[in-house]
Amino acid sequence: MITPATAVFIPFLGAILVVAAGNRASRLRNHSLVATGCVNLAVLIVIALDRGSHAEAQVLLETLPGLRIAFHVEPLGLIFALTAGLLWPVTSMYAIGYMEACRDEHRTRFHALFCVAVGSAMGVAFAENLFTLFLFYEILTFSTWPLVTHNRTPEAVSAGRVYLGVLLTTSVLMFLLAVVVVGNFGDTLSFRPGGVLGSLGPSATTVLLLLFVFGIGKAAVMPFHRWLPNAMVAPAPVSALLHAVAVVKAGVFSILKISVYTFGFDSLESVLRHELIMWIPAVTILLASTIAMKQDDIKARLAYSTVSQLSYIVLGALLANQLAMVGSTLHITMHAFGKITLFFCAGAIMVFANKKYVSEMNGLGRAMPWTFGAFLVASLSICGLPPTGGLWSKWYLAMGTLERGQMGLLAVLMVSSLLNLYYLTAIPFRAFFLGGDVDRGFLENRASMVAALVTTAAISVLLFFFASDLAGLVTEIKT
Amino acid sequence: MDSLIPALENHLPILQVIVPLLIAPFCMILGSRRLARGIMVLTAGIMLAITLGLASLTLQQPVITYDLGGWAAPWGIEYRVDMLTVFILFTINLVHMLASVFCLGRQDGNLGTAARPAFYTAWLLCIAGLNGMVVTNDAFNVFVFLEISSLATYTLISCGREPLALLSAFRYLVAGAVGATFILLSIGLLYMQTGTLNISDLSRVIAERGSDRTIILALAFFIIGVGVKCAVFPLHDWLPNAYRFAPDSVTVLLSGTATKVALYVLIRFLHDLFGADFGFAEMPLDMVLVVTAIFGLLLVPFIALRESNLKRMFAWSSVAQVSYIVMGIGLGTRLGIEAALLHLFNHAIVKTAIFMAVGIIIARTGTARIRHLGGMAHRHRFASCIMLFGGLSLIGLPGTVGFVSKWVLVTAVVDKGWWWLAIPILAGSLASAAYVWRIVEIMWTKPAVLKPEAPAARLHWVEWLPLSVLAGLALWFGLNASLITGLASSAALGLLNPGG
Amino acid sequence: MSFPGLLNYWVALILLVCGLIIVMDSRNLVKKLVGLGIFQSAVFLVFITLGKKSDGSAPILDASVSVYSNPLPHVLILTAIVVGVATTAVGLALVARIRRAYGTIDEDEIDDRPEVEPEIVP
Repeated sequence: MITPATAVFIPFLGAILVVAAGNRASRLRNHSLVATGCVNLAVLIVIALDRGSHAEAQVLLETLPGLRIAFHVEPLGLIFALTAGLLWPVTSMYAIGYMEACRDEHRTRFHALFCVAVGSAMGVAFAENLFTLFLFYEILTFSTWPLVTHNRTPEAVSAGRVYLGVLLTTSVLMFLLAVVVVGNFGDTLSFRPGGVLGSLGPSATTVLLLLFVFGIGKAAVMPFHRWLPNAMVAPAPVSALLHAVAVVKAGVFSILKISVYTFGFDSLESVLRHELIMWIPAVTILLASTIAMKQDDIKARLAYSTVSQLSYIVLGALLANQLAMVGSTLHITMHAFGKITLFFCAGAIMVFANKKYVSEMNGLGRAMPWTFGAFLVASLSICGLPPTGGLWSKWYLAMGTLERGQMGLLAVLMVSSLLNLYYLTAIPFRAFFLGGDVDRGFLENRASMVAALVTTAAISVLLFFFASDLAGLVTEIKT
Repeated sequence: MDSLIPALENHLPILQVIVPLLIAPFCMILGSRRLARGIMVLTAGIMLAITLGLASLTLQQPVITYDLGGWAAPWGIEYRVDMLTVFILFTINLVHMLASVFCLGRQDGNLGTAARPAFYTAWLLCIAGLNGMVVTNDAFNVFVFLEISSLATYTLISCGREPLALLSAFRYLVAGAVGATFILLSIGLLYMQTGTLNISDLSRVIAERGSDRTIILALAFFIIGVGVKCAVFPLHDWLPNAYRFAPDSVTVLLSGTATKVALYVLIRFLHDLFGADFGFAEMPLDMVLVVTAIFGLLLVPFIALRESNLKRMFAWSSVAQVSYIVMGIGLGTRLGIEAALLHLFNHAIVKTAIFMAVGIIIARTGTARIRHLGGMAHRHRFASCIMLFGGLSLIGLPGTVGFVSKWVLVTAVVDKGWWWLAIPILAGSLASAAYVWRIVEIMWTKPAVLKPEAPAARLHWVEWLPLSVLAGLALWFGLNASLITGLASSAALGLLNPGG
Repeated sequence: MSFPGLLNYWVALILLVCGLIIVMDSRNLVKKLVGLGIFQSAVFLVFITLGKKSDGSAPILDASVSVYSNPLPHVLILTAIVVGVATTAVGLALVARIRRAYGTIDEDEIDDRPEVEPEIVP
């Protein structure tokens, strides 16, 4: 029997397999890791094809009356789960190569926690109510802390402290408070199309919205974004899957899902000073892009770029119309494929050429053609240029702002895209066209890593042609 | 045999108290440590069985009364067992059972003078006194049992390895004796105005004649006196050192029973004796208790954060957690009491487990200094994981018992209309996250400070068995709390509507 | 109300406060116990007083007496005295052990001692 719960538990099962195999049976461990990822993807595809029959809540446990651990399938969660589920086996292959190249001693712990994190992301994706969402959100926070502090260096530990500090403070003080408010003043904690806040007045709705937007710290809306650049001390695969896809997308996905199913567009319309609140993510978009331009460390630059792109999705959620919702959902997927490629490339540059600063990358293009080629494609996708999938998500978002009549926000989106273009394409430009006289030989000697980054870049391009199917899926939601 | 069981059934309330009381001297008389340990565990088992027997009786008949020596109340001493009593009895006797098993594994070196059989006598007297406080329905009897358990507790604490255990026990003795004398004075004042000592009778008389200054004074003395025993925030001074210097098994026992019973007495007296109308409508008790609780749960975690000793840090955390229970009691509503009882049970099992894990690490390394903990997680995985799990529950993360009770508490404050209290409750959770995570960080990410112990210190079954039971209970009740919530809810209902 | 009136209660109150001050203020452990004794005695006094009735006789049935004192508080106080004695005994035993361990019964002197740290082998 394949249900959403299956998709949630398979990664946890994978974690047990990985621990059971351990460092001694490392081949078995690696194989079971990839196999778990593939099985999980297969399960997700079956669920996607049969989504109609899983729309009802599937209750696993009832902790207290009204507090249920339950899952269901709806388009937003399905797209998020498919994105993470498709990228997981690819990242697993990449991670196996990366960790071997780094001669890391704690690979078992690393891979096992990775599985737990993916499982929690699945839990977030299929959560049927706010309690389940919050439960898996917190498991995600705690399971990624050991990954951030993986190196055990003082910098890693202090970065881990910021990571946990910001995520826990925001989630306990604001997110949980908001859940409490919904639980006590809303109709139900469950997600219902059209929202569950019927009886709440406009000012309470406004406060609640702010609590959610800032309380879901994983969405990295400024000023609660500090944890994300800090988390970059983690090994590259963690930055790639978790801090470009699973963790941050769990955050923005939560905001999107809550705005669609807990508030509903009608409630969002009633929010006081709606225009002003929409400027919160808009300011984050601009500021983060500006900061990203100044970063020389490639992972820090990508991290700030992520902060900026996440706020596109938050903005889309706050715009409260169908076009923007489609744009936000597409952007979860498009940005995921683009950004994971960029992180894969950053990791590959680190492993193959031992370089981590943008200023050192002159002339590397000939030694690592695949890597920088993929980097260029992914950059175009992040900027929203054809022929990549990123075009469509930004297109829908722009249409969403127009439908609201927010020309200012449209300008923000455009300016930010130009900034993206500048600070991302500068990297392959340097690699291919500057300092080309140094001959370093061919450096890309780990097939699994190169294959992974080429795959994700290729999917970014493929998404250009299949975006309409995803958009069609999202429009199934009755708002 | 067939006639014996129904005969015993009628006497279960008194057996709950008198069995440990009568058996206790034998530990000393027989003079053998091995024998004394066996007797202790056996008695703990019998007591838990009696509690379960009482529980099954209360299912058929909500209130069981027992007249001591056949003297009818209000002249004689009456024992009274209802859902609330059973709830508390179950909590403390479960903890006692597991703590007894855990105590078997403590070596002589850890217990100091506890190698003597008399230690086990004191142990049984302590738990006998606590059980007595729960089942009795006579105000003066509560005082007597309080003193029996307290005197035994002072003795147990003084058995700690370090000489400061003596001073901690002495300070607890002074604080405890002052507290108990306040309670005695309160009982005297009540008797002065009502002429009775039976709690049900007292409540009836107070309701009939209304309150006056003397009864207000009695209430004030009672709150202060029992506050010392509960370690309510400003009156908690004795607790951290008493827990720290007591032998590990005694800390385990006390953290799950002593303060919990004192909190039970607080609930019982406020609602059954003084009456909720007097305490919460006429007197601003709700404000008093809630405000002290807010201070407790916000300030104490910061003291814990600066603490250098693992055991005392968790002792501070107990003071903070008591504040949540006091807040629930302070609300005075049915949901508030339900939340208080739920947190009382949840905190009892979680903190017992944590102190057991701490005890295991101390037994292996000989130190409880936090800065010596570096890398300990890789050496003592089981104990460390239990500590982590317990810590997550102290924070109150979803999926743990701590979340369940805090959720009910938040529902209770919203239900009373004091929804703003949710903010300090959540802030308190966050503050506890700080000290819990400080430990986790040191244990998991810092390099080892201590040389590895010479023999591979394997876990004995008396160590992992009680821990696993507690962890299993915590896990189950964290995910599916319906059973325990139902019990707490009907206990609270029984307290507020004794008739129906 | 005749002469003593509330005098007993006033005395009890003064003793109570004196005892409490001694307990809190003195640094000598034995003096603390003395203070505790005074404090408890004050409460006993309250109990004894409330059992007494004006012109009441000892509660022994006799045809010539019609007003009896209430014996119950006195009985209660017997129990409380026993408890008080036991508390003092345990306290004194602890003080004796403390003196053996530290050579002093002054709290300040004991607090001033540095804690002995277990040896650390890095």
